[in-house]
Amino acid sequence: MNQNFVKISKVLAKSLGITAEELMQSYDRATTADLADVCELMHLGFGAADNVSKEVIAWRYFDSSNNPSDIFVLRYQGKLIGAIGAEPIKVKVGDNHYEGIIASDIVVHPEHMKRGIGAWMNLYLQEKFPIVIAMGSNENSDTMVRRLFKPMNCRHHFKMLFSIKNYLEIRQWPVFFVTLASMLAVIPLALLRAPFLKSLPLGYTLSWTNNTDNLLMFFNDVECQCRNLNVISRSAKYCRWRYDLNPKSQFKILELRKENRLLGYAVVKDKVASTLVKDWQLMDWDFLPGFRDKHHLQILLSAVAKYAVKNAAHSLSVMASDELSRTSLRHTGFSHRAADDGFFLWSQSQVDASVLNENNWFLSLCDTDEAL
Amino acid sequence: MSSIAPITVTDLLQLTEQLLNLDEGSLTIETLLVDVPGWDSMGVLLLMAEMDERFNITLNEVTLANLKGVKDIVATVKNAGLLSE
Repeated sequence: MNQNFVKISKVLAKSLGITAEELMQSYDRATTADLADVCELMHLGFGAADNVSKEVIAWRYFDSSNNPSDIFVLRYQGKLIGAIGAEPIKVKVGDNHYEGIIASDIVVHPEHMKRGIGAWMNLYLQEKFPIVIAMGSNENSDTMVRRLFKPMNCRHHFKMLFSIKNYLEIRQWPVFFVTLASMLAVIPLALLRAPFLKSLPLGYTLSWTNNTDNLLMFFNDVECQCRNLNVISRSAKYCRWRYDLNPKSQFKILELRKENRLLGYAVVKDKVASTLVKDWQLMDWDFLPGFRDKHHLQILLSAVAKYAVKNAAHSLSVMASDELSRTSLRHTGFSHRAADDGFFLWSQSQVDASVLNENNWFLSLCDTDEAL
Repeated sequence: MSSIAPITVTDLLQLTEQLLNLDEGSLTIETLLVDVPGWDSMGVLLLMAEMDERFNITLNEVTLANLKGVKDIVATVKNAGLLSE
């Protein structure tokens, strides 16, 4: 064990009036018996957000038969004072594979905040796993996360607008102005995107489905996982849990075939936000190695955009990091919005150094959307 | 007699700035910790470790709860008899 971590553990334990061994023993994976206490702690830390409902927490961290994600909890004087979600991931870096985790939902009981507990819980995970990824931060954790992880500024957001009515309505403009502006914008918006959207070439077919069965080959076939990038490898089981069993979001999968051979897929989240805006999200996509190019990606992106328009979505958002995806999105008429704060990465010294090169990463919303 | 070398207020401020990842000169004795961006979980943990290792001072839950400003950090070191003029 890293001597600095041992030293820091001793200091924290001393401040809590326990030994370092007792501190280590007090920090472990939660069991189903902890569900109610974890919910209470998250409500204290995050308020009444829909991501901390009992149903969502149970699905996310306590459904061990479908999902390997854990939540580590720190117990002190008979109650939970800290928790941190840990989703196991396999990360492909060059030709090497590493076991890592995505840390999420870090929360410390309000009575114990600013006592070093949040930092120690993160350091513990960094001690235990070769790669730790954190997807975001809040005002309480931002400076801490930036000190513990390397910021990787490679998340680029793109959007295609189909309607401006609801965007104006949530800004509470007068009804007359909203209606007029909306009517005036319908045709220009359609004209703007029309030249970019690709038609389906002869011999190709598209189909929408609600289940992940046909995606098995993309996750089980080694030949399919040959992107020359840093990738979080997903399993079919993960996709079933994430997309089919998700209690809070609905997903659809678009399959692109050529002469009945499945070439690629896209996963779309039909997200109805608490606002009036029906903002769909393109969560993930991939192709067989020989078809992973701009031409095919534009066909897939165009099909998703057309389907979103047909289903009265107001916009379609995408997050991409790699050059091929970004170029294809631009050439399909998506507007580049902004580079996000990025994600945060920590890796142990034995991990291939290219993991730290933010340009090497392939990420989609499937990897980075904490709201799931 | 203690073998721990005392520290001046100036050096203690500088040390705190380093631990909280702040620019030199950004802390004064009047600074409130709630206004300091580096006063987070990691900053607290590093301050606790430094206080323990260098001054043999344990910042327990009660002490930490009472640290409202830089002057309280200074007072903690002074109360341990480790502040030099």
